[in-house]
Amino acid sequence: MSSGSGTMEHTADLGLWVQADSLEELFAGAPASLAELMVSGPRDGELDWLPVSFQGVDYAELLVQLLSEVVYLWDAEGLLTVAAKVSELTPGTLEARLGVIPADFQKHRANEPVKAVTYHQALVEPIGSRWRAEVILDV
Amino acid sequence: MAKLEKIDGWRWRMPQEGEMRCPAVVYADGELTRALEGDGTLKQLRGVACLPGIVGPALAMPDAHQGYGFPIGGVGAFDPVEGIVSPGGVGYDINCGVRLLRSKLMADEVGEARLTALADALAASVPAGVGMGGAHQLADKELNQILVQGAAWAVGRGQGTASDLEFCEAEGALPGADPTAVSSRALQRGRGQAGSLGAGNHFIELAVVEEIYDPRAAEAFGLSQGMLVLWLHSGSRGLGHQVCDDYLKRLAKDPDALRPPDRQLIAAPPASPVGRDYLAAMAAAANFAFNNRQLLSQACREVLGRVLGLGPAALGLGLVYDVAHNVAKREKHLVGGKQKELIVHRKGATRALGPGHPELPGRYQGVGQPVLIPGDMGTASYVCVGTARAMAETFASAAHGAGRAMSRTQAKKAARGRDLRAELAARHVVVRAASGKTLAEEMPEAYKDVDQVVRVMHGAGIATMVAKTRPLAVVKG
Repeated sequence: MSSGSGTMEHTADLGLWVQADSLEELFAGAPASLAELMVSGPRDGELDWLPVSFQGVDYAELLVQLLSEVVYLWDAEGLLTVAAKVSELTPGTLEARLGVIPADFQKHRANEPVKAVTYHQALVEPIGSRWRAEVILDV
Repeated sequence: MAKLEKIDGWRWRMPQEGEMRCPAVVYADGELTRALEGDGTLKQLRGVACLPGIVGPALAMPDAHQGYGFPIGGVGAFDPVEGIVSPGGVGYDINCGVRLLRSKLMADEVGEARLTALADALAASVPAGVGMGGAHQLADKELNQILVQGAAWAVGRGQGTASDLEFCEAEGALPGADPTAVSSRALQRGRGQAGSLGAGNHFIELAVVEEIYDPRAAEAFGLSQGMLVLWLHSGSRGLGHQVCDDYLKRLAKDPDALRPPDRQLIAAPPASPVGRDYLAAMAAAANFAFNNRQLLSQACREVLGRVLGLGPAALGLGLVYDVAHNVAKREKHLVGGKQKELIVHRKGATRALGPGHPELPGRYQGVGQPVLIPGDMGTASYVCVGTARAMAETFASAAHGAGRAMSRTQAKKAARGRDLRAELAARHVVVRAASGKTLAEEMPEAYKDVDQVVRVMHGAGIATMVAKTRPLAVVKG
């Protein structure tokens, strides 16, 4: 498996791209990539696995919903997403678990102030033999 | 690429064609127009003009740039029956807005040393940053009260005075707010964030009134040359973002939803169940923001009083005005010579009522509504005033700030190797920011020339210049 992620420019905000060998790996890797963009600091400690379930019209909508959960958990619950496991993925359904640790404000520092994940130009598409996702983040 | 036809030096028309239901008008000079052609602003404006029930034209203000759904700086007015309401026409930070407070102090009496102390004290006392808690932890009952009462909730608890409410848009509370339309997740995000500044471009700024252009309006607003004033920019924090998120998600599954090609522009008829619920939840989030700015201004009053050793009367930190710039409101406007109720979406745009409007406080009846245009932290901000022309031409709307010229990434690249704090200090601006990255992203060059934006509004006559302020001490979220 090889995956990667990075940021893209947007006039007022910021884009995130993620690539992986398979769709499942893409969805499993994207939450941690977003969380790394949002928060710096150690990811150690035992993970608490939270089940999440989403319905949508396509993969892009499912990804926006999944990543929105990462933002919500950090902003509202003080939980930092470290990993994700995908158990079911179709164009209309996503069943997954998010592995989270509690925020430690002595060790964790806010990096990019991501407030929302938008549907604007959101895409999930095959690139050759791999998959690529892009989302614009409201910061 | 949408083509623009020049109307005059300040206005450009995008003719109605294809699926557009009305033309669009861009307020800009030639240079600003060329900048708009470089990003997705005009395409997004065209998307707005394609929405059903739009009572044209779709408008872009001179600070417009690409957003999502509507462009930032976009205005769209819709028929309440045949039209739509769209979370993408309001934005995530519902009722992000600006307030300006005057003082009884002259800036040169305060001096640089005490301005530095004030910046330090404000940075230490006012919670800032994404997800950071606020000064007030709220129980469900209090939160629900805030969502209905807006700024009056804070005033009722001694956080400000009744006269503060008189000088807020909608007197600090949008009608029609329904806390039951707000999800438990949105409430959870807001619970610990009341009285917090937030992150990104939110700020507190102490500034000096450097120039007066309209003495009559300035007198009405209580502004005079050399006066120390305080600007404050914040919004509805995580609560507003979650309301937007929740309704985008609900609309995606709702049979009443209209699904334009840009899914961020998803919309519904205002009278549909989802449309009604969104408007009620949006009003509730807007009220959270009004209350937030009220709590923040009271925190600033307390800090200034403590650091300067002055009581409230000697400080005289009175509210000039509080305006929303991300909101959809039911308003009455003249259409074809008749008063008509419309749902006006302003996304990154400020209401700009002209003289005599019944919603203005008595003190401003003769001059019009203050239109607050914050610039960047190194140059200037402007106080303008709404006009009869704005009421006739732009659904009483004007710009909301300088508007970004650079992406955040571009700004960080441009700041590399520079000491921005020292550069700002050389301009006699003390700055305190949560991080060097925030400072880089918000550097003066990252924004359009606010002088140019204001010149276009003034030239077009939709908001005219009253006073210019120069920053002295800035606290960034």
